Amino acid sequence: MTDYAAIIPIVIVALSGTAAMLAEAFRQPGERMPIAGLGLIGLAGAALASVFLWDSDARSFGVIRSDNFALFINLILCVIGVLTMLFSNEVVEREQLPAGEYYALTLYGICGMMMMAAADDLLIIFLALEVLSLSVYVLTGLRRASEASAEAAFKYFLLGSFSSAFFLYGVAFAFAISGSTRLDQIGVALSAQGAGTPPTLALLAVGLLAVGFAFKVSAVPFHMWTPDAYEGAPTIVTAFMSTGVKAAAFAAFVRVFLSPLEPLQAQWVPILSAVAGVTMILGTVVGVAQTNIKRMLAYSSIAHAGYLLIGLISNSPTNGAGKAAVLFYLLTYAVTNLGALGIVALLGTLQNQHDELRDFAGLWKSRPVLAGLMTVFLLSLGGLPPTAGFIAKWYIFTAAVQEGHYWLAIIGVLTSVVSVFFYLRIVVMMYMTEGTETPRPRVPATAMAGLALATAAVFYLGVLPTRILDLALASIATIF
Amino acid sequence: MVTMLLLIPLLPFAGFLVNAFVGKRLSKSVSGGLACAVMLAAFGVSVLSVWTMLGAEPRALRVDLGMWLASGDLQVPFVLRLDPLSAVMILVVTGIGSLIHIYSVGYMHEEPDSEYARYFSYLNLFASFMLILVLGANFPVMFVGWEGVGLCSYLLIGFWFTKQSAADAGKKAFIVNRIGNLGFILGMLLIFVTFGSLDFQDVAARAAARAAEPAAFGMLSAEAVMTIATLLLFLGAAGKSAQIPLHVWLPDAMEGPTPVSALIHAATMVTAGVYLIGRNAVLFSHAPFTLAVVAAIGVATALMAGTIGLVQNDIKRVLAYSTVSQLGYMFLAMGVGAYAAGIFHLYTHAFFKALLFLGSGAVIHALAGEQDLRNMGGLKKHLPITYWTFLIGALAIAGVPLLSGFFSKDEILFRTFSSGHTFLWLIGVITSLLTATYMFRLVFLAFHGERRHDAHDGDHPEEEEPVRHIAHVMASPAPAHGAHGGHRHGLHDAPPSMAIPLIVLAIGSIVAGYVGVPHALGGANHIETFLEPSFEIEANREREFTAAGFSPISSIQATAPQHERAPTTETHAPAADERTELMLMGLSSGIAVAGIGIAAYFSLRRRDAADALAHRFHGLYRLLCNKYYVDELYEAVIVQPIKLLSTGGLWKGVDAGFIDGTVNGVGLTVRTGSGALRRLQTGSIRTYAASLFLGVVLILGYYLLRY
Amino acid sequence: MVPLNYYLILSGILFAIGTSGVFLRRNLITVMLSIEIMLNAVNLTFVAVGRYLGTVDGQIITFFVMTVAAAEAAVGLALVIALFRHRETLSPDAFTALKW
Repeated sequence: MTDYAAIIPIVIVALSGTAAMLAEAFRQPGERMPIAGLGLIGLAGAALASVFLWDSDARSFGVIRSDNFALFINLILCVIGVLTMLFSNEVVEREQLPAGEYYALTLYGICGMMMMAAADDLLIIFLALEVLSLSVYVLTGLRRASEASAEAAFKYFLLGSFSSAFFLYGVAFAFAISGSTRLDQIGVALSAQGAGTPPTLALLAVGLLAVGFAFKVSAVPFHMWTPDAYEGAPTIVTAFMSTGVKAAAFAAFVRVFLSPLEPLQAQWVPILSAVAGVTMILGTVVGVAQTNIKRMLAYSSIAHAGYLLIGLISNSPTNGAGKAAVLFYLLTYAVTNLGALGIVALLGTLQNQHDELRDFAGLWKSRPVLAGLMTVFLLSLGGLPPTAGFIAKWYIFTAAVQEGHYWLAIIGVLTSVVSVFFYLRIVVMMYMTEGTETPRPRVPATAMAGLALATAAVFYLGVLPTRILDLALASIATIF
Repeated sequence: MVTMLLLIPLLPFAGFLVNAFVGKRLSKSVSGGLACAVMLAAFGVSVLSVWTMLGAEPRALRVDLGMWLASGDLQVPFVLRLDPLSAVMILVVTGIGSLIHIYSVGYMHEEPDSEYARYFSYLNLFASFMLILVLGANFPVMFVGWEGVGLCSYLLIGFWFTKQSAADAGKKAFIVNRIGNLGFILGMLLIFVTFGSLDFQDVAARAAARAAEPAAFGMLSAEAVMTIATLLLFLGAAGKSAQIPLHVWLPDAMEGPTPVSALIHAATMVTAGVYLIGRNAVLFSHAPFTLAVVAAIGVATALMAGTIGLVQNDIKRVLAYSTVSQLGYMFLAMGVGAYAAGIFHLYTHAFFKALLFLGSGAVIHALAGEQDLRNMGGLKKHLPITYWTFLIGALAIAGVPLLSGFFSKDEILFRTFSSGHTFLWLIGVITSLLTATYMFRLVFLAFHGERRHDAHDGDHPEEEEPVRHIAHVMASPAPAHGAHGGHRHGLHDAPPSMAIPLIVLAIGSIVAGYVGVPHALGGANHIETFLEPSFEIEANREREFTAAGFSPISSIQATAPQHERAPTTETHAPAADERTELMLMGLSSGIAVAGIGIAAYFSLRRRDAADALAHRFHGLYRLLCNKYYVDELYEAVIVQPIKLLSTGGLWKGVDAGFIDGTVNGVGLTVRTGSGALRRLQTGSIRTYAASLFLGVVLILGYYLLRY
Repeated sequence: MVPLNYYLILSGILFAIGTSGVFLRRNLITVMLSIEIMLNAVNLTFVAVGRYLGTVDGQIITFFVMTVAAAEAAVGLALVIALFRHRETLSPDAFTALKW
């Protein structure tokens, strides 16, 4: 039984995904079924299992390792999943998405994400990457009637498989060096090389693995799919993938680069620093010109990938503040971005996606509560205290300064100042412009509960972050 | 007992919560009354706390709420600390804040219930953040307040958001402030990295102890680090306090309701920058270059704003420039090391400037939204309370002897002179002439002479809503007098809820200065001795926490390195200086009177002479009317290029142009034909793949070249 | 026995052919096939290295990769069909509605 312990959360989510699929199959036409409830149960079970597994450092089959790091990511993913489920019920019906497929794919996607965070083997990381990617590709194209949706899905799919070919090539080179795809053995093989010029194969491996991860976290210049995919996808899917995929990809990114590839730090830090700098600048500057909220948030998501990369780069076993920064940032970004995009999704209808800037005009008048919550999320994305975004950025930048990456810290602070400009544009639209008579649909209580949860999290993390930070610190320590 | 310190920001916050969430269902008297009640209660608690603090030795109270941000070597507890400096600030914020809340009850009375509640919720939230700002014992806590007041200011400037100009002004204020905050954050990071702490007292002690270190941070000497850090902090201060080059937002901020201008943009928030420097006096004292910059910027701002104030015709804009100018004085004081004098001026300024703003609000209220001085005049006999209180405020700011402004401004000028900054002193004196002139130009144009406004329009019934008119009138581009103006039949002086704050503030403007009567006039300059400890290293750096976590700092043991006391120029003036001081005082009294005389000549006696002068120096006049074209400059040099870069440069240029080009170079060299580049438009999946591949090539190419 | 390097170089060439196919082919299905070639180039590396090291790991990994490739192809073809329904073309340059 011990061999199975580590995969329990993953299995629970997979089962609930299967249940969702079956439920759809047995559904009478016209019958309403609370499929989201199945997902919620599965996610709650997975979260519970993760809590029980805490500190156990369980391993399954030598390739899945539920250390505290993976469990922390699992919990983030459960939060993401729960919020998505809470928003979905209404949105799926309104946008006439196929419910069974939607929930099953979302849950399988979460499965892949959890697997990615817990994988202790490059091949498993690759498989998990594909599991989550394939789910998300299909989810992106789920609005079959919409051409934009299909185009977005195909672009995402094609570039995704292109990048995963590079990633896999990187895995092959790592395999060639160490004769194994296990992370620990790769680490051993690389540290055995000692100082001096690393072998070409190792460099190829590092470079190509970095490409694969950078694509998934949408870092420049591997970001091109992001705006298109985010804009074309159904908004609720955008919310899910912008947070979930980022969390999972960063989890694996951090695990691979800080543990087995740690001996090659001198080789990858300059590259990732350059990528991080360009990512923050491009994401922010191009975001300024956007008028579509989803596209704007896509560029914002690119910029946030840059901040997260700083956190990754500034991570070292000796750095106190930096270690927890990435995990904390991921959690913060998850609740904040899900909240913001969730509101966009909840306001959309089949006819009107409600994702243009002007659609938000006068929201304060017609929906004061939603406008207020949206403001909170946007301010958090911009990094203003007392929201979570401020604390998260603060930790990232402090870590960067402590590790001597002054330029990254300066670029980070500068771009986050500029980024407030485009978040503020939405706020201005909501409060200070007379509304066109956009019909705005009803927001059900479950979705409001989700939004309340996200808001509470934003403030909790912003005002009393210590507890979560300590947790994050304890959990990331397990991968060193 | 010390826990009551917590109540000070929490009370207004509670008011905010109630008004924000259930305000729509409350009647005006309940929501307004509640807002005032919490502010008055906060004032009461503040007085009690200050009283307790006076009894403690040394004079400081701390409330430690436990760890807030803690991870590794970064330990930031959420601590509030009351010392003489923050005592002055909380008394100003809660005291004057209460008066302005009361005034608002009358001023905003015509707003619908929900707007009324929204207004008071913002106002309470502002007060709460402002109190956190001044009570915070370390940089991050202060920063929470710092950003919070910025947000509230933004919300309140844009309160009448249906007006485009108000919405724009709000945005402008927010963005300019963000630029300043950038400096604040970077300065804070640098300080943390160098001194390993963010607690004001720790930083001060460590800064003094390590001042002589040749390599405190990398290759930088301690002095260089402190210079950079303080310059960055000063950038933050300049943003918040509207100093050159970040002064542009404050005059525009006058789009907000007048009580907001009084509270946020005159008495409290804009002085946060001055407070920031005062709070870090030890640090700044170790960075003489920064101090020189602060003094120079301060005096330049004072002069510039003073000259612009001469030609403005909007009553609130004149006051706004006057605020900028007075803030310049405070920075001058900070820059010459006269921290106590700066804070003293901050404190007196809060009284008379709030008074002037509220008075102007009463005028605007009475004239149904009219703000143009050219359309006023002769209001003296219709608005007696407003007139007399306003006059006291004007006399105080002009520096007429024995009123509050006289003492504080003279203290600054004297300190500037006695510390050897003769040139700065001279500009200060010139500015003080300008101050008296533009203030009395305003007084004479508004209250004296004959009436130039049509109050007897009479088309509209008595119950017309004046505040509504403000929005209406200000929204229309033309000066809104004449047949369509819709003014009331007669002019009403301020109703009691507005009159009482005016009277209280007027009394304050007279007597507030007597806490700082200089030695030269036989006083004891109490405020200076009172504030002194705040600008030095805390005598005792050891903290004791009682079981509850709160304790007054009561040990006398001095563990802090005392060998290098902060070099402060605040030494008591020796007898020889007293004569100088008396002479300077005489001079500035003369200047105040002269300024009033000039104003009287041009505004009352010879209005045509002013026009002639404007005509004669047409270029200069235009320059002043256009505020030295700073806004236009920023638009051309900063705003447009960023827009251009964003839309033209990176957005279309890099994504479309550059990457397309690279595709041609790298991915498709095999492909024949020059038509490839044309066919590859953005949005094309191949462009994207090429971008991805470019990344691969760059990364692997880097390795190839390096190894 | 053929040295390992030959295999690696061959797989590198195959990978490059696949990559250039992604850029050069004008049909979305052939673009997908090019990606398949890239994956199979990697498979070659796995097999060759596995053989060189004398373990079966390389060969086993190949099966996983083939499974993934099959799943990718299924999803990809479905998406191509969805796309084709809207535009009746399979040129990669036709789909530029989402841009900038």
